[in-house]
Parts: sequence; structure tokens; C-alpha cells
Amino acid sequence: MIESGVYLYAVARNPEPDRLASVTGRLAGVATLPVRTVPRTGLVAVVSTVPLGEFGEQPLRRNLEDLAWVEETARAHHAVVALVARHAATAPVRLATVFHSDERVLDLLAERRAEIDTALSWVAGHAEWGVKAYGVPETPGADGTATPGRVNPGTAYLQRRRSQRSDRERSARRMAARAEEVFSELGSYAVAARRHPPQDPRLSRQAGVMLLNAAYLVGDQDGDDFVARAEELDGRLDDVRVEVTGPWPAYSFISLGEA
Amino acid sequence: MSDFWSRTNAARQPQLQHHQAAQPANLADLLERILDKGIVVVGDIKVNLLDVELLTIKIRLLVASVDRAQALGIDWWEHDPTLSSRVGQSMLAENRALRERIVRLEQAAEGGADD
Repeated sequence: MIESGVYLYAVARNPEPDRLASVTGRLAGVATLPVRTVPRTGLVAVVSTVPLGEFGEQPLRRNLEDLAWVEETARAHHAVVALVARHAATAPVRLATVFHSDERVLDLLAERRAEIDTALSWVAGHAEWGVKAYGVPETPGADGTATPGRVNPGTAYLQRRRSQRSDRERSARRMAARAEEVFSELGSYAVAARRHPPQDPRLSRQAGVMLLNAAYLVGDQDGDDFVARAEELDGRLDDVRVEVTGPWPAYSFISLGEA
Repeated sequence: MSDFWSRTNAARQPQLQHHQAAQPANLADLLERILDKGIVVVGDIKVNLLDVELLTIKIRLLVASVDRAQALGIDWWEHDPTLSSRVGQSMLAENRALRERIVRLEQAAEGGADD
């Protein structure tokens, strides 16, 4: 017999159990396994039965070091959470949370019922929007040429470096102010906001430095206004590019600690 | 699998998009959300969180898939002592070479400034 565990994606309110079950039933989850729902008085846990050969403690530890596995699993996890979030208030669970049985999952729902209810009330009717702002790189000025030809190359180099450094500092201050401006202007459309650390420029593949990497919890009825405002900022601010992603499940706004 | 969130970034348009149903979820955006946000419950299968936290920090940098990153010449994790045993002497050698070069450049700059 192959040992199996129960992989938990999310906990959702379950006003229409059958409907949610039919939605998730059409989806492949992690490791392309079927997704099912485990209901309990108004809540539902969204799960897959997974082989412990892949999701047991040791395999999981090994797999989490395998970036290809992490990407595949993360995308599958997200596909499930996103689908559920389109149909019900949803509290996403962190990647790779595995239980021994459905009963253990139900125990969890019972033990932490109050916390889960609070979290679900908080995100119900809202979605998360991601906003990233990038500083548009300035074309380097022709200031290097201002150095008189008589100065020896070493001194010229140092002068040029000094001038570039102060330009950079000025520019960094202006960019930081821009980030604050974008962050707070969009905040007026949201009920909550969080800032993630900016992503590394080596890998973002975007021109410019990421100044802001924020998430906003926005009421469903305000989503269009929020996006329009971000577009307006993108157009109005010459030195900043604003990029919106979403709507996301409220990942950044569910933060039940470990119990 | 649904392609709802899984489209690649390749078809990005220059204009800011209102990503309703066609959201291409970039991997870094995704991982920063699902690795350390959401409900943290301790499952029965316990993964050493310290290890995962470490991975999270590294992985947060990753936007492209591994293949895409490698195609772009991004392979830092292969040389990262915390992620790979292939630290190798090359990094140490490179550090040493750079340090020596700095000394030479500093000497050259000082020599130039004196006259």
C-alpha cells in the first residue's frame, strides 16, 4: 500500500457546498492530483490526497530544494486557491502543508474556528492587488565630458565618480519619495496595504529599479477604480512605471500565526 | 491544468493591463505570497521551517523558471554556498584576483594624483 497524506490548499466559507465541490472537481492540483473538498459546518477545506513518497517529510524537504518542483507545485497550488477564491471567501494556506488524514484537517478547522472566521470575514468581498513601481532609469548625463582635459586620468576618474555618486544619491532620494507617493495614493482605495521587499533587479527582467512592491486589499466594488488610479499614476509620473497584478486571492492579508 | 494564471510573461503588453482573467502570475510574485503568507498551520508532515525560510529568501529572487534563468545566465544558486556544495575554489580565486586588482588600481590612482 502506498502511504498517502492530505495536502491542504485553503479554507473557505462554504455557502454552496455542492457548487464549490463541482468547481474544484474539474481541477488538477499539485502533482496533477484530483482536488476535493472536506466540508465542516459552513467551512470547507480544499485538499488533495497526495503520496507521501513525494509529500512526506524527507521527500518534501528534498523537493523544496528543487526549484523546478517548487515552481510546478506553486503554480498548481495557486491555481486551486485562485479558483476557490473566485467562488467563496478564501483563506489560503502556505505551500506544502500536509496532514495524515481528513480527520486531522477537520480537527484543525475546529481548533482554530474563531481565528479562521475572523480572517474570512476580513477578506470576504475583497481581493488582493499587487502594485510594483519601477524607477525609470535616467540616461547617464554627459557630465563626464565636463572634466578638463588637463587633469590627469586618475583625478578625472575620481571627480567623475564623486559626481556620479551624488547624482545617484539625489536620484535615490527622489525615487524613494516617488515610491511613498504611489504607495499612499493607492492606499486611499484599499482597506489594507502591505509592503513586500522589492524583488531583485537581476531577475525581475524589468528595466529600472523596483521601488515599491506592495499589496492592497481592495473591495470588489472598488477594484476598477483602484486599477484606473494606478494607470493614471503610471501615465502621470514620468520617472516611475507602475505595474498592477491581480486580482489575487488575499494571500498577503491572511496571517494566522502558528498555533 | 487551467491556464488561468499560468500564462507566461512573453506576451506582455507595454500598456499597463487590467489583468482580470488573463493574469500571468510571475513566479516571484507567486512565491513571495504562497511561501510565507497565508495561514500558517503546522501540518502533520513537518518540514523544517528554517530550511524553507532559507529557501524562501533565495527563491524570492527568482522570477523566471530555472531554465529561463539559466538561459539568461542567471545561475547564482549553483555557486551559493547555502544552496550548493559546488562552492568551488573559483569564487575564492576570483575574490583574490579582484582584491589584487583593486590594490593595483588604488596605487595607480594615488600615483597619478601625486604629480
